[in-house]
This record gives sequence, structure tokens and C-alpha cells, in this order.
Amino acid sequence: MRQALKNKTLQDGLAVLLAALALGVRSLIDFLSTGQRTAWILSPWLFPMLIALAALPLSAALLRRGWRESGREADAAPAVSAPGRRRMAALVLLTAAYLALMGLIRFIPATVLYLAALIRLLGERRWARIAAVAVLTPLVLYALFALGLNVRLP
Amino acid sequence: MELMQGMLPYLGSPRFILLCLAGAVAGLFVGAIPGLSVSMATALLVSITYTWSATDAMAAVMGVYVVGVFSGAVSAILLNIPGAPSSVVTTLDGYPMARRGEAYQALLTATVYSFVGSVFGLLALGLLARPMSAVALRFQPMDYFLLALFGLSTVGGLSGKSYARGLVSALLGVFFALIGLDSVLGTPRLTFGIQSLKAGIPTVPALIGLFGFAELLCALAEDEAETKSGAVQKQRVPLKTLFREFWRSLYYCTIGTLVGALPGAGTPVASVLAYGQARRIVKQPSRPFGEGAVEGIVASESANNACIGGALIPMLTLGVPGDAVTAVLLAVFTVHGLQPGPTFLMSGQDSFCAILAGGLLGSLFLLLLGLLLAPRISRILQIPRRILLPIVAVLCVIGAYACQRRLFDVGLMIFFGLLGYVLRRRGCGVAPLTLGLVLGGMMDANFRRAVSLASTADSPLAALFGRPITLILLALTLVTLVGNLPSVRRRLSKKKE
Repeated sequence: MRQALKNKTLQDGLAVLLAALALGVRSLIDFLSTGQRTAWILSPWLFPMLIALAALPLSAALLRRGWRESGREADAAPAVSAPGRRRMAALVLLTAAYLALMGLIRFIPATVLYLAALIRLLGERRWARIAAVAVLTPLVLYALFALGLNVRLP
Repeated sequence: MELMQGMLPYLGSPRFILLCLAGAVAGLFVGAIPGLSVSMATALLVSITYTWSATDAMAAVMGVYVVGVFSGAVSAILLNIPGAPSSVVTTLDGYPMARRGEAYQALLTATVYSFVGSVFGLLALGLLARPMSAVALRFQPMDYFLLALFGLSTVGGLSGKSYARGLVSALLGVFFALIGLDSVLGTPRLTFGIQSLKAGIPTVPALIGLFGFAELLCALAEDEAETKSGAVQKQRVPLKTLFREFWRSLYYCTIGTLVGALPGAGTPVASVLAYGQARRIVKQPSRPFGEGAVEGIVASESANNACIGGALIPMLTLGVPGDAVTAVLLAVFTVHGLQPGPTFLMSGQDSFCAILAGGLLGSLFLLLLGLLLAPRISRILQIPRRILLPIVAVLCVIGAYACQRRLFDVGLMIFFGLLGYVLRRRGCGVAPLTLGLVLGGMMDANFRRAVSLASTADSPLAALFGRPITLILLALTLVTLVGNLPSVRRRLSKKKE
């Protein structure tokens, strides 16, 4: 069983099954409560229930295939290396920080910092180049969006 | 003939041509930059053209519209970020071609077949506006629901390896489309108590996340990400090779025009249906579909540009917009005192001719700008990835923010980026999710409308499925679903052998 659970298709089938059950139960509860006030046909929860129902045979198909494949890895994507994972985590964290900074120090300064950090993270070592790209890019983008297209940036 | 005579004064007017060219350049720009959409540019034009004459406004708007729909393919091919939902399918084969150094050929193909599609759609608009609007009028809510369902059933195959995974991805998209205020009763649904989700999941930030940000994550996951730079070689593409798909493209154009004529269906459905047909009818593609088949770009681009003419049919004849851009166009018309509707073709013949002339000129500019700028634009890939990727990341953030000026949308973009990355790793594909997201709301509203209407009929089942159009769509959907069952596929492939 433990061996079977290592199979990605089986994992996906289980995830779809759990998600479908969660959506189905949640929709059913709300469907029954709104059904008293409105005709069941008009209930906003009718369609989510159908989505949950439609997901059930798909999860069954994935579970069946995963069970058959258990013990061997079918179509498994190559594992991401530790540096790769670190770079990805850094991108997400830096973008989240950029988002927070934009609200505080406005678009241009936040973008300069974000770009400099990201370019450096991706392996650029020449500071002059980092500075040039990090400063020029937000200025050009600001001119393009805010001045040219009247899109107000934070 | 009458239409040709009506168009001639516009086609020969330097002012009209210049305004159309200005619109075309703007369209190329907004379509190619991720996050800027044609509907957004057209909306901006409403305020700019407010004081202009109606024909001047039509020239600029048609230039933006025609070239903008095409240029979504530029970012789709070069950056794997579709400029609009209609370019989603183009990414499937366009980006793999660009990664192999065939960006030039991909852009050239997209340009030529977008031109073919635009001209086809506009000719159809001129010739078939009246009869086609009569057919579109017969579509009822259940037909719209089934049309969208058919689209999703074909899109399941876009994920490549597993049809079931593709459908899961599509259902996930439909689920996200249901988030927000319910369109019938106005009650919040699946918002998890988050106030900002009441307006629903905005398509553009989700698209940017699924394609742009997820692509960044994939690129960073690769160990050679720091050193890899896209080498672009200007290729010599023989005319014979370029036009090999011409006759098939007319079939895709027909699909695009017909789908465009259905209000609400729009370019994403057209390109998906055409792509599905290409997978079915092209027995020996240049490469497998989804791995850089030029036939995939032909199908997607000719269909989505043919949609322009199709989408204008219900807008001009019924006053019902065929897609988001024609909805904004309707506003432009109203601002200039024009009233699209059943009598428009008679009372507004001049404006109709101006629209056709603007569209044809826009198609010509599409070809010129695409052919002249495509090799130059593709140089973007020569920028080292350690410089290009951060700039794309900033574009993703601005694109997500620009639509509604909400930082919350940037957060959504990051969420969808992570989701897109996970889906790719699990082999589910993000194209089905995108289509589910775009079509989910329409499916929900039309399904409930259909059931509600049928519930008052004597025979609800006959009211739902008793019409030829409905039965055809139902049969097509069932055939697609059953035909993709593993057991059926195995039997079919055994028979072929």
C-alpha cells in the first residue's frame, strides 16, 4: 500500500477525489440551505455540485490507472535539484516582498530593488550591468504604462 | 459590389489609412506586451476618440482590434505568455518552436495565417452577415452550454499524455470561474470570506500567472537556467512550406468565423476547436502536436483572427457583442451615436463599409508589421536569460496589476503561477484550465437558464435536447468523450494497425 501511494497518478487520483468530495459536501450543504429560499434550479450551488460529480469518474480513472502502475513511476518528471528549488523559492519570496514594497515605497524604487536582487540571484556578477538594467527598466516601463497608456502604477 | 463601392472612399483616404496604421501599431504594441489586452486598448480608445468623427474612430479601432488579436501570438511564441486567451493554444506549439531556435518561422507562420484568418472573417462579415445572424439567433442557452462543454471535451486532449488529467485541469478552471458573486442571484459563492474574491477571479492575472510566472518557475528549476540564452536564427522559409497548410487553414477560418458569430463564445473557443480539428485531420504533422507542430499555430491563429469578422456579425446585426472587444466596440458605437441592431445594415451602411475597410486595411498592416517586425521582435530571445527573466517577472507583475489596479491581483498571479507550475509537473497542462476559467461562468449561467426554461415546459427533456442544433452538439461532445476513453483508443489504434 505504501509503495502504491508513491505513484504520482494514484496521488493525483486521491487529490481529485478529496477535492471533489469537499466541493460536493460544501455545495450540498449550501444547496440545501438556499433551496428553502429559492427554486433549486436557480441555486448557485447546483453547478458546483455537478462539477464535483463530474470529477468523481475522473478520480476513479486516475486511481485505477495509478493502482495498475503501482511500483513503477510512469511519466515522472525529472526531480528538481536543490539549487533549482532554492531559486524558485527565492523568486516567489522576492515577488511577494516586491508586492509589499510597492505599496510602501512606490513602483520605481521597489522595482529597482526587485530587479537588482533577481538578476544577481540568477548569476549576473557585473554590478554595472545589474544597475543599468535595474534602473533603466522601471523608468522605461513607467514611461510606457503610466505616461503612454495612462495606466496608473502604485 | 455595393459594399466594394461603399468601401472605396475609405480605402483611398490618406487620413483613414493613417489612423488605421496608428491603430495597428498600437495594436501590435498592446497585444505583444503581456498584460495589456486588446479590450483594454479599445476601452482606452473610447476616451481618446470621443471627439473624433465616427469613421475616424472606426479606422483606429479596427486597426487596434485586428493587429491586437494577432500580436497576442508574439508574446505567446517568444515568452510563453499569451497576450490574450485566444493565443493560449498558440503557446502549445509556438513556444517549443522558439526554444528550438525556430521563433522566426513560428512568427512568420502566425503572421501569414492571422492575415488569412482576418481577411476570411471580414469577407464572411461582408457576405454572410444577414444569414449567419439568423442561425446565431436560434442558439438557446442549452446550446451555448453544450458548445462550451464540447470545447472543454476537446481541450482535454491538449495536455498531451493523459486525457483524464486534461479534463481534471479543465474542471479546475471551471471551479475557479465559479468563484465570486453568482450571476443569477448575486450571492457570494466559494469566496472563502475574501472580500476581493467577490468580483470573481480576473482572467488576465490568472493567465499571466499560469503561463508567465509558471514559465519563470520552470526556467529557474532548470540548472542551466543561468547560462542558457535563446539563439535566434533568421530562417529561410520557402513559400511552398509556408503555404502548405493554406487549404486546411480555410477550414479553421470557417470554424473561427462560425464560433465568432455565436455571442459569448469568442476567440478562445475558436482556437481550441480549430486546434482539436487540426490534431484530428493532420495525420503527419511536422512534429507531434504540443512539441512544436507548425500546423498547431496555423490552426490557432487562422481561427482566432477569423473570429474578428464573426464576432462583429452579432454585434452589428443584433447589438449583441460576440466577445470582450466587441463589447467595448459597442460602447464606441454608442459614443458616436451609432445604434447596432437589426436595422443597422440598412441605416448605417456607411459605418458598416468603414468597419469593413478598416478591418481590411488592418489586415494589410498586420501582414506588413508582422513580416517587417517579426525578425526584429524575435531578437528578444537573444537577451541573456538572467536579464530577460527578471524583466519578464516585472512585466508579469505590472500586467496583473494594470487591469484593475489591485495589488490583490498580483497575489492571485503568484498563486496561479505556482498552480501552473504544479500542474505542469504533474502532466496536467494549463491550457485546459485556462479554457475552463474563461468558459466556466458562461456554462454555469446558460445551464441554469436552460434548466429553468425547461422546467416550465410540458416535456422538460424535449425542451432541453429536442432541437437539432442541441442534438448535434451533444453528439459531438459524447463522441469526443467516448473516443478518448483508454479502452476505445486502444481498440481504434489496433484497428488502424
